[in-house]
Amino acid sequence: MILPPVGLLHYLILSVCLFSFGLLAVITRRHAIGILLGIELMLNSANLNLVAFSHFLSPDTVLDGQVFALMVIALAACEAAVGLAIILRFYRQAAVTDVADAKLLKW
Amino acid sequence: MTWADWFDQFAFFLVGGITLLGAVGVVFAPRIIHACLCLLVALIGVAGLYGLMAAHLLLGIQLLVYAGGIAVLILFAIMLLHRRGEGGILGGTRNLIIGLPATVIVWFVVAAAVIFSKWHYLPGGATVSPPAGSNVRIIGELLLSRHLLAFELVSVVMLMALVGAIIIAREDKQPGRNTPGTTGVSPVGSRTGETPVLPDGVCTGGEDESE
Amino acid sequence: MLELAWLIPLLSFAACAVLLFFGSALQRRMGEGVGWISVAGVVAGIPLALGCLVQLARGDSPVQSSFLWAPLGSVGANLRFGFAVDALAAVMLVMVTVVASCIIVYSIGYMHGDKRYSRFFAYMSLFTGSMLLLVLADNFLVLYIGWELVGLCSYLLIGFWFERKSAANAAKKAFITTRVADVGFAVGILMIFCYVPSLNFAEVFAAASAGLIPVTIVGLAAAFLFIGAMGKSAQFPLHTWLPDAMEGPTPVSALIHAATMVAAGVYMVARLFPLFIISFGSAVLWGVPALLIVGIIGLITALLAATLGLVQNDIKRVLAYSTVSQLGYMMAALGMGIVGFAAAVLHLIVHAFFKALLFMCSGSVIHGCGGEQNMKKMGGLAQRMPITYWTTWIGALALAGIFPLAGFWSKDHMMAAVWARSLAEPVYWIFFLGLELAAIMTAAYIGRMCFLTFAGAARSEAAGEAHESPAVMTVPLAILAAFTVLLGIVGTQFIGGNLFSSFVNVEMPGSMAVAGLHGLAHGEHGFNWIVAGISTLMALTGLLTAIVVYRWHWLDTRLLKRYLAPWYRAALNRYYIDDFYQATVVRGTLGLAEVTRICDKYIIDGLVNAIGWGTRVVFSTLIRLFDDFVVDGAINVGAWVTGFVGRVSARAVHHGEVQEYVAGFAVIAAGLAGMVYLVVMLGW
Repeated sequence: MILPPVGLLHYLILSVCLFSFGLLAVITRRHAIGILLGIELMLNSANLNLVAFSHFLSPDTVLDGQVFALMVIALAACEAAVGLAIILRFYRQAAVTDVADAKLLKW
Repeated sequence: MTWADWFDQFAFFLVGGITLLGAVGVVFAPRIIHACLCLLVALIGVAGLYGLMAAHLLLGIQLLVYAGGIAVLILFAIMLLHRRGEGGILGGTRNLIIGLPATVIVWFVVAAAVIFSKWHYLPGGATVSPPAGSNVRIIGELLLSRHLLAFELVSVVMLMALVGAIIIAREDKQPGRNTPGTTGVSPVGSRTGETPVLPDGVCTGGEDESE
Repeated sequence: MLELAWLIPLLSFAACAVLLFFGSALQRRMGEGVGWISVAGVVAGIPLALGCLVQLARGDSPVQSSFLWAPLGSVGANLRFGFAVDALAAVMLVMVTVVASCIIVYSIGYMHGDKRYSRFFAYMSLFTGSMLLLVLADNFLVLYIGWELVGLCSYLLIGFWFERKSAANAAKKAFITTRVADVGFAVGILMIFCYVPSLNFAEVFAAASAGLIPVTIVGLAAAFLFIGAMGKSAQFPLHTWLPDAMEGPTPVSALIHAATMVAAGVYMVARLFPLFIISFGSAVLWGVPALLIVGIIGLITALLAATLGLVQNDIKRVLAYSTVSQLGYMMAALGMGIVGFAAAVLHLIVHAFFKALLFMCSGSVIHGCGGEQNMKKMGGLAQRMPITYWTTWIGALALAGIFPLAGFWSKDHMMAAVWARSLAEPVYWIFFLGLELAAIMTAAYIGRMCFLTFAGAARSEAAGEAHESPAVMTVPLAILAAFTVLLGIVGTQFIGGNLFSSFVNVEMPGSMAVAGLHGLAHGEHGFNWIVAGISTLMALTGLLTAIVVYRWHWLDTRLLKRYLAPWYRAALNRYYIDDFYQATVVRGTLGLAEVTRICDKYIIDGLVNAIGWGTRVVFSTLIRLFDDFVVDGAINVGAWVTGFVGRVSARAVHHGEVQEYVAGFAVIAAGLAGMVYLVVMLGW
């Protein structure tokens, strides 16, 4: 059996799958934190892309892609902190964690 | 195919499979706490993929920040939101009828773009075998030279996020405003039958019961 | 020691910094003891300065050191920051540190209870430090820095009691007048810098004597530099700020008049003396070389200020005009050329001591009389303030030039120089006569001041209740008085053949043979009995006049006033020089400002406003029409359509379910991305 060698495409497809699952989690989870989990998945898939491009498309000494991924991780940490703070606040205000209940502005 | 190639294949599919399994768990786990644990698995899987691509620094940071930091933070948040006697935390999914087709469409579009694109390989790239030695030094130099501005900006953003998170999550000082009763949604106290006591000792539930 | 000279100004600056930043906090902790911080900064410099002096006197060669400050690559020159200690600088260092120490100790008593007490001492330290920096400069730039710092400090200190409008005005006047002069100084520096890619004194002098700079340019530059000195040293016609500077606290006056501000001008001319010598053969203006301009201005100033000093009633103003006059002496002596150099410097030093003494005595008197400065309201203070009385007389006699006080030796030295010059060229007899005339008036006005203040009966209540000042004020007086008595030794020709002249002399680069200065070597001439006799006679004449009029009252002052009415009125009005400036410069500036203001307000603003008005009228009409019909119409139509669509369909989609929105966004984004991909990447 001849399999194509593991290359860029493998990682990109895997990354697309991860992204799709993240999106699916954002759309379907009932708990507000579930949305956060989905977002983390999507960010990770993006990071995977960056690292894969850096690894496969450019020489080993050019690592800007990895630096970029580092930035994304830092920002993801910020996002998680602020997101959780918002959810906590929302819970304290409304006593629920279902985003479907956040309809105060809907007329 | 040499043994090294077989090892590549095996390692990729094993780690990738674990990652995807974790992702599936994130979506479909019935309880949110399980979903979070599945995310942890997926994150560790991604870290493994970084390792396969010789991004050793990222591997470490992924484990430290994501698996060690963010995932645990989310776990804590879930436990904070979970109240005893509430009859289980909100779990499960909905909107599958809308969500699945939407996701599949996105998947197909992006996957098609990935497959049909002609990737431009720069000379010296496209080696699967990890390079000799560590590349942490190069990343460090890049961070403090070419990407210094971005580096500094990220630090500023982190500071802002820190302050913002504290401000958003802080308890309100004035008890009269923003109590659960004013939001139009049934407050904690009346749903669970117990009175939430804020850390500063202000009883907020009593007002609602007097309405 | 010589290598440590840079510490001397630094100590003062450090004291200033401490007082400036921690002054109020320290004052809360240690009360009015904060003044001693300033004293410490200056006093610590005395041993260093003395060490430098002793080392140089023992025959060590002068030290110069500098570091690269600002490389000017394209010009090919480097600006360096450096210090140089030679004989001239060393004697100045000793003088400034000693006199300033006495003055600052004195001000601890004088400024007692002032609300900006620590601030005052910070400024005093800065003032002294700036002067020391100026003295130590080894190039034009450092000299200029010190120069401007001194100007700034004089502004801050003259206007120290800025709540008084007159003080604020005097500060402004001093600052602006010296600033006008500083432009001349800057122009002179720049002229030199155009020819020599260096600002170092030694290099500039060498280049000038080697002919790298045209002699006419050297002369012109020297004349411009002298304009700067005229401002700082209050030479005619820029002397008007100095009497007004009396508005500052008396220790400030003493510091300005003795050690720091006004000495800077004379010091600068002395420091740059080779330039004046080199350019002696080339006329700057109407056939007069720069050096002679210095002499002429000095002579005019000496005479003019001495006559003004005769009619002042404010005790400090008498001394102020006396300072102006004495500075004129120094400039005149410098104008005599190399022969007068050492004499002028000696007089600068000696004058600093006895003028500081006189000012502090006047401060003591003012302090004792509760702030009264008018001599007409004093009198009879001799018994009540004995220390002040005797020290004042020592200072006064020194100023008049009475043997054996220090003032006698320095003044005699200068007159001897003028005499020697006159023998060579008869034109210079004018100088001799003029300066001897000024000597009479000097003795007269200082005698008048002493008699009016101390003799007779008290003429006001405050003077009747006067008391001697505290020890912190009288001890510095005594120290300075001792210096005034003894300092003359260095200037006598009888001990070691005039130590001072052989120590301080002009370091001319190369062998200079300058036209018109032949046969006049360094001040090696012996004691001139004729000159000394004439000078003493003149001084005694002046003093006798003062005694006759103000002590024995043989001659009524009213009679004098009537006989000399035209001159008296003119002198009271300071020969209308201030009025002239007020009418021309001040009015002119204000008038120009007014014209500019009117131009700005009516022409420029008017134009702008007219354009604005026209635009507003035209466009408001157009835009209103456009608004009414086009914009409103379109919006109304849009609103109607939106409302219709909303009523029919949008309500169903906008249900508020966030996650369904996300799904929709994802699909739409994917669709858009797909389209973009097809178009861009695959070229469909």
